[in-house]
Amino acid sequence: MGSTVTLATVVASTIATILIGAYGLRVARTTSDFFVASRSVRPMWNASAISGEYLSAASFLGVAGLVMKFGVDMLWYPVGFAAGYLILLLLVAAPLRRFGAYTIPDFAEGRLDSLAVRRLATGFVMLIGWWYMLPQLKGAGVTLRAILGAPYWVGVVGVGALITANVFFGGMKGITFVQAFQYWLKVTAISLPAVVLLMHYQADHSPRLTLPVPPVFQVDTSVRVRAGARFEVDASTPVRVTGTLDGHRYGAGGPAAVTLGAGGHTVAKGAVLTFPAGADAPNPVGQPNADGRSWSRPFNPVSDERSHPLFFIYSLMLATFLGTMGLPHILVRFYTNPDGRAARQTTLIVLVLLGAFYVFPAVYGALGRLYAPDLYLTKGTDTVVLALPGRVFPGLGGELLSGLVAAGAFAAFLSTCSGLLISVAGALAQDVFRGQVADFRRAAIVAGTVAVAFGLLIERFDINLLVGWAFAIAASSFCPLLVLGIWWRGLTAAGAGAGIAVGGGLASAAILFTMIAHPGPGWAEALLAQPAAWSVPTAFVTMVVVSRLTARRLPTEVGAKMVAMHTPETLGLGRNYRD
Amino acid sequence: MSARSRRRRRAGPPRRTPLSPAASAPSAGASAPPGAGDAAAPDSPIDPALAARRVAVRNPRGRAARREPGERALTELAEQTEVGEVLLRSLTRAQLMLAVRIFTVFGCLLLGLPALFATHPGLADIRILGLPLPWVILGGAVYPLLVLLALLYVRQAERNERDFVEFIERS
Repeated sequence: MGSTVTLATVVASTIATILIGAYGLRVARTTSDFFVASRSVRPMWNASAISGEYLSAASFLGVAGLVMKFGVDMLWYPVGFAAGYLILLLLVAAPLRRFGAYTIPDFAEGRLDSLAVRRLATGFVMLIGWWYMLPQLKGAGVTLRAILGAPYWVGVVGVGALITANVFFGGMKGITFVQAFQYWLKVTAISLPAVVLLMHYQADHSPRLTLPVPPVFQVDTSVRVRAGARFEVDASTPVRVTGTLDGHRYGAGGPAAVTLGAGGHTVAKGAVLTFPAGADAPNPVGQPNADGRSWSRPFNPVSDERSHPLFFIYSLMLATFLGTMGLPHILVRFYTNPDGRAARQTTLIVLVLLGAFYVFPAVYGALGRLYAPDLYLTKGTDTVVLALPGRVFPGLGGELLSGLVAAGAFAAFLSTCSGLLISVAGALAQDVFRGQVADFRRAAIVAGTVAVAFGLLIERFDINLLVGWAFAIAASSFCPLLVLGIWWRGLTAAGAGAGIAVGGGLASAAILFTMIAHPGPGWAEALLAQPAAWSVPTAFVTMVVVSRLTARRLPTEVGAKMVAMHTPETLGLGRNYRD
Repeated sequence: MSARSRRRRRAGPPRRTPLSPAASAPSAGASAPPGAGDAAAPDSPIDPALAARRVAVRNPRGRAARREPGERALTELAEQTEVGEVLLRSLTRAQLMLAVRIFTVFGCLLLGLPALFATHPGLADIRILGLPLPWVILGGAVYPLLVLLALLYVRQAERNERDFVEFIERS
């Protein structure tokens, strides 16, 4: 891969990010500027910023990789990521903006008059924020390794330091411009190469992807093995080898010709295998490649490796539909709208922008099956977006396109991480420190350091799995708080606190158990691996039941708060419940 | 609650009464009733006549309600009288019902899909422009649908709010 050009574009996009952040710095002056950009951001800017912040490593890299590996079922991820904004629009956007709080803990305290619920909410903001930051940092580590060959920790520490510095100096005003820029960079970086790739596919006489055959190498393909691997081939395959294969060292004086028998083989780190055009692509042991027919159909045998795929899809839908509103870095953006109407307009534009983006990852996933099937062997499907342009177009054109997607991937980590870091640092600064600009900066350093430390530990977990879990926790804790807090007068502090603790606690426990204990196949595994389907209803029921039981301790001024949240600003009945 | 607020509506906010010119002007000099004390305390340098005039300024609501249409309904809302509560509930119910309607359309179109795909594998053989139906739906067609539903919601929600504001200003 053309690493000079790629490196140059990554550096260029990073410098652009810093410059735009610095431009914002001159505008940012007060604490209010830092936290919510003085609530003066126009809908188009705001929507670009929200989308820029939202399109993370999971969207930019993860979706395409999963589609390449598991097929059409994985498109439920982006559908859920986008549909979450429709639910947010229907239930939350305008009333929450009219309530006039900065963050979810502010909302919890203002709506329920309870410092205890505020603290609980702050705890979950930090949990969800950090959890969501981990897959981004992992994406950064993996990307830098893929394009530069750098060790995993370089990307994690580098991106972590960069965003911490950017947040430290720019605050949120800077970040609004940065994020808006990042959206347009990302959508360009994913769409332009995709269009060129599709033109190539057309010129290539559009090979059918849905035939019942396994993925096949289109051209002679050299695979450099970065980590030792065990793989299987279906039929005996002639290859040329440099390095250690099945315990033998080959290729002291040039690549040696070897015929791989059908079955399992072991290849050592650093070996180079060259497969001839027309050979079936090998697969890691235990992860068979789907044939094209079943790959292109819903609920194919490969994605069936989860115990109950239909349950998984529904649980994932619930997590993403309801979790979006509970992501701390997204919600804080809605306060930068001047009023409730603008909050609705912003959400509408966000849906347009996200829809325009999410058409493209599937293109990479499908074409990756055709043009980069070696990624199955190296378990590198997460990097298909980065790898594909270089595979299809050797030479400068391919290098430039590779550089463009690498810049887009970098934009994805930088923007999402910055947004999350602001939220976590904001929560720390307001609730643990004292809420001044200096505290916010101190909190940014603390939060960034913690994220990097954990980011170094989670390399073995799949990017989209981690993201799906963050959504599940958000849906089980903050979604009931927001929905009931906005629409139901009967919510009490005790009810809200119990619901957040039970729902968020159960979801977190189920996910931690899955991460540590790996339960065997069956309903237990299905229920624990994506808990939203039962943890979200549990949270709602807990909130309602406990609120009913403590109905005599309703928060003060519920009526006035309802008026403030639901009446248009033109009537002048709103009031800031921030303090 | 209901009796009190109805009384409020006829007599105006109760806290107004002790400050009404008739009650406070004669007594302002010597024995101010509790609640009116701040305006004209016994040792206050404020001239009784001036105090009376100032009270009149703090008390425009009752007359304004009769003169300016909308002011009264606005007061009901601001003070969460029973009428105000009914007004607000009419708005929140309209918005919530709108959200439920849009969600129902969304749910019918989208939430049924996984079950439909699971029970009718033949759907994957239908091709639109050469692409299998599930790819067309999940890879592209879903997004315009989401935008369309959002657009319908935003329009109707804003109309609900305009109607509400108009109603308040007329009443």
